[in-house]
Amino acid sequence: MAAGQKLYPRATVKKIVKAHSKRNVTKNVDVLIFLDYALFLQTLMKEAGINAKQAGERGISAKSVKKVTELSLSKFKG
Amino acid sequence: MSAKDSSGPSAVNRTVNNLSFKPKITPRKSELEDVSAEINETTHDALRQLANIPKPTTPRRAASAGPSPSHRSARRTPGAAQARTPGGVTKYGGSARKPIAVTPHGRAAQRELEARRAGLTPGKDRRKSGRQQRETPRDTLRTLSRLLAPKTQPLVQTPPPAKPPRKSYALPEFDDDDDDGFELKRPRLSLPIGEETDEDDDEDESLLLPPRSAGLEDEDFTVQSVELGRRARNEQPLSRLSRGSFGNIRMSDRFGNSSPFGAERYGDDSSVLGPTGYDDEDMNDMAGPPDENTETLNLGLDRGMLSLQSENDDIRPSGFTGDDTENTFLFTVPPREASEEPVDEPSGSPDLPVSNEPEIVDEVEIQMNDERMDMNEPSIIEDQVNDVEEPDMDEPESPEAASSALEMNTSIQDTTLGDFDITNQVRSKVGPRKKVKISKHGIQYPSLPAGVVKKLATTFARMGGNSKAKINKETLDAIMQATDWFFEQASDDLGAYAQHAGRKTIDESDVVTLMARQRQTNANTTPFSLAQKYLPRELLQELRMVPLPKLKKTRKLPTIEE
Repeated sequence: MAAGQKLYPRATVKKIVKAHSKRNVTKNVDVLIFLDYALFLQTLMKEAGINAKQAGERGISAKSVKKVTELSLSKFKG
Repeated sequence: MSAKDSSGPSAVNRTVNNLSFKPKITPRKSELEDVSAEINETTHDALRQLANIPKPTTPRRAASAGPSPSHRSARRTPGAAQARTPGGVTKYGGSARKPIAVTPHGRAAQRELEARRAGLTPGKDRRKSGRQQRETPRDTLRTLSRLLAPKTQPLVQTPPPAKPPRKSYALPEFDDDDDDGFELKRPRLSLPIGEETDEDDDEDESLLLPPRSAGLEDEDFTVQSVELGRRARNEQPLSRLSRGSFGNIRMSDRFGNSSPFGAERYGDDSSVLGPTGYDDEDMNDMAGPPDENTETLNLGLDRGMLSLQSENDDIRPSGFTGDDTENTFLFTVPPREASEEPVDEPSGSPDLPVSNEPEIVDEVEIQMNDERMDMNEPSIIEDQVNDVEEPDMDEPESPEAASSALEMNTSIQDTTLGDFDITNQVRSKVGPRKKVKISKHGIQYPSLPAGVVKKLATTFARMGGNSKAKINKETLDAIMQATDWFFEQASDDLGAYAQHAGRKTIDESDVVTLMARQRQTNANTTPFSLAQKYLPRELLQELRMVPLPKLKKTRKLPTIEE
């Protein structure tokens, strides 16, 4: 869905995962990981939108995002 | 004129008999004089004498007085007039003491009421006697009340003396604050006090009050005094900056905040991720030229931390051998010592940059004290350098440079102090924010570029239904924080899966497993379908390789297992 010339810097994702897991990453794993991240971000934004609407905010505020972060992360716990 | 002449001697005599006679002769002035006479004598006597006053006096006096309508009714009905004579007495008394207070209209009203009562009852004589008996005590009471009227106010004053006993009740409960709380309740007290005795009221209210006030006090004290402050200091930084699950959060935050790196490298990270081989060498380079005190401190600190961790990593046999990153860390060790010397010199002045920001100083000082207390103990060093274990610490150091033990101590101090700098920076949210962070493994990593995250988040926000959804900077920061946490969490999980599978590298299968466990994929939803939905075509093509590696994975498993 997300359009754009370059969706994300692949090397960056690889590096992030590598740093956190202290393991090497096979060639195309970063794509899947980014896919997972996209799913997470979708969940996060959806929840944040719901939260913002409940709070009566017009847009999505940082507060609502922060409130939802914990929940979304727990949803994506492996 | 004759009436006035007679009024003169009457004033001189001022006897009761004169009183009775005067009204006959003189209209008004005699009344006033009578008033003075009455005042001189006891009110009770005067009342009795006035009660004996003959009926005709009132009509004449009234006639001379003029406007009072009461005399007419008196003239018309003699019987009623007799009945009224006592009323006239009241009139005299009332007029004498408060001529202004009782208006003729009011008197007329009273008389009419009395007349009605008299008219209703057949036996007038009985009425008379009964009335006189009734009214005399009434009148005396009225006169008493009027005399006492000015004194009644002091009765109102009595409640204030009653208040001090309440305070005495409040004192055992606790502090001066209670008094403030009671002020609201005082009005309630005043109402019952007039009727009842003060003590009783106090007791009753005191019974009611203590529970209420106690509850309020407890809440106030707990909230204000201790707990909020503590929580704010201890929990906020952790909750804000990092996930609770990992102890190392501080680590990443510290390093991420080391401003010089972030600022200088920012461009590189977003596009190319400058340090391709690994960041450590860059770190050292950066550390080499110390420009300012603050920068040198941060650099030195970071370098020290890295070096410690790298040493630990070296010692650990488990994860180590295969990774390129580890080798780079090894290289970093020697340059550290060389570069450390310049770092140590400025280390004496770490307090200064900390103290520059006034807001955080208090907390910083507290932490300073705690950590300084603990400085000597190696166990706490562990906490700060999360993954480091004591034996690991000692072993690498001794072979490298036993002589540099002092330097190590200083560097450790720097790290502790550096914490404060970093926390300060984090709080103030100084511009170059965590462009470079360091994972719990001591590996530097960039965060996903904000532009990418924002674009993605915006699209998702619009998918949520809000077509005009915009993400401001604060929201983006929150999302970036969530992003960092997500990658930290996901990477940990992936690493755990890979390790469990006995692999050194994270595989597609790991990610597939992760997504399945996250309930993102199920029988109907394959990762590939998700990819089709969320990823552009170029990436999709790369993903098509996935099923093959999966097959390979099964073959690989035995081979990789050392």
